[in-house]
Amino acid sequence: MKATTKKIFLSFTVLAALTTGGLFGRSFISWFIPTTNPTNHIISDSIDAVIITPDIKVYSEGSSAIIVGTVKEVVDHSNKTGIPSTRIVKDAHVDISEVLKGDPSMTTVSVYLLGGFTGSDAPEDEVLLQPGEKVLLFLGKDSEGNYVVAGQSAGKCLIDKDGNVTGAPVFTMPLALLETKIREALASSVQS
Amino acid sequence: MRISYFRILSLVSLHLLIFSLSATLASAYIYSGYKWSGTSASYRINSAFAASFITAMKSADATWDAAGSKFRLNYSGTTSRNPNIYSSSYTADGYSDIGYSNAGSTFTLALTWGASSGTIMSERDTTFNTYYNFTTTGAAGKYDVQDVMTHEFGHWLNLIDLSSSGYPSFCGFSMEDTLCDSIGPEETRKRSLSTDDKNGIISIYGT
Repeated sequence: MKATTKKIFLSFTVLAALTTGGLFGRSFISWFIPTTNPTNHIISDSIDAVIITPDIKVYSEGSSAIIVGTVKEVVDHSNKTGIPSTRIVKDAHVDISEVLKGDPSMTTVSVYLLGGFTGSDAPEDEVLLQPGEKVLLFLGKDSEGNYVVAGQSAGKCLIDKDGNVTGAPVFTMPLALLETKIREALASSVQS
Repeated sequence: MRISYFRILSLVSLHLLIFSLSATLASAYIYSGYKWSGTSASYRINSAFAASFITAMKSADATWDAAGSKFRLNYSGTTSRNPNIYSSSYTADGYSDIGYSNAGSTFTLALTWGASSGTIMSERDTTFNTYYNFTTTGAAGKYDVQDVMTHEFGHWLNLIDLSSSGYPSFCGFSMEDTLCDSIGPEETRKRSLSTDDKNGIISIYGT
């Protein structure tokens, strides 16, 4: 094939791909992007939240505690006395291996989880903590003094077996590096 | 004209890559699956909010009303009702209201919740977290009321967050779309709707 013909062929291919993608992409995207459909679940307490933009300095300074640990169990308090049938309330008990901020003597923490689905699922804005997960958590406190994950799911960083953290893009890095950055942010906030 | 298998494979791969990229860019809104039964919903705002805050919230309402869809949000005045979605005892009461609560250092500026019967929305409430400081004048270190409420009204209209923190993200680095789920102090970009936001509401409610 001559070079000129190749270029023309390639150009039309690119143009065709862009056109079809732009025109029909929405239909195909829905195959891959799950939309919340709580009608499939027994109870849904789906909360939409607007959060403070994840940032190491902001979340480090604003958190009441920052811990590294493993989720031991999640206790569902839904349908108990005083809680409407439409509310989902859980507590995640986390065994702490390291305290980056907060009471250094803490060995366990109970994290209040409001909203979600019954069972082990969570809509787009709520945080999901599952037994066995190793996590770094930025923890805030609600008006009743309960620890909550800061920024809903934003404050949860999942740690894999290789010591890499995945979560909000600004938190995604090796755990040791994230811990260093958190300590630096906390140290600079003390000095200022 | 003889074309090698390698060239065919390369062309197909290139085509798929470009298709995927353009598809991604073409659709940056996510529909929740719910919708209001009609083309309007009425709401009230707790009377404790300052007049400037109420004006800002009504401006957020007007922004969505002007997005090109049939749907209209109707402000019906103030109310003494104060929905507190942060409370474990919060429940639907049949009214769509905007309230407030000092909910603590949760890093959430506001929560929105909805009641439905099947996929038909019957109520939406929003609670502002007054632990954080809000402004209508761009004051430094504070969060813009209209910015927050324009985002929350997007949820009232049944669009889901474009997450910056985990869920498949279409926010990108610009965070231009109103349904991008995070807001920084002094930010006002979410006051105005992006093409994606408008496409979302139009696709749900028509023009």
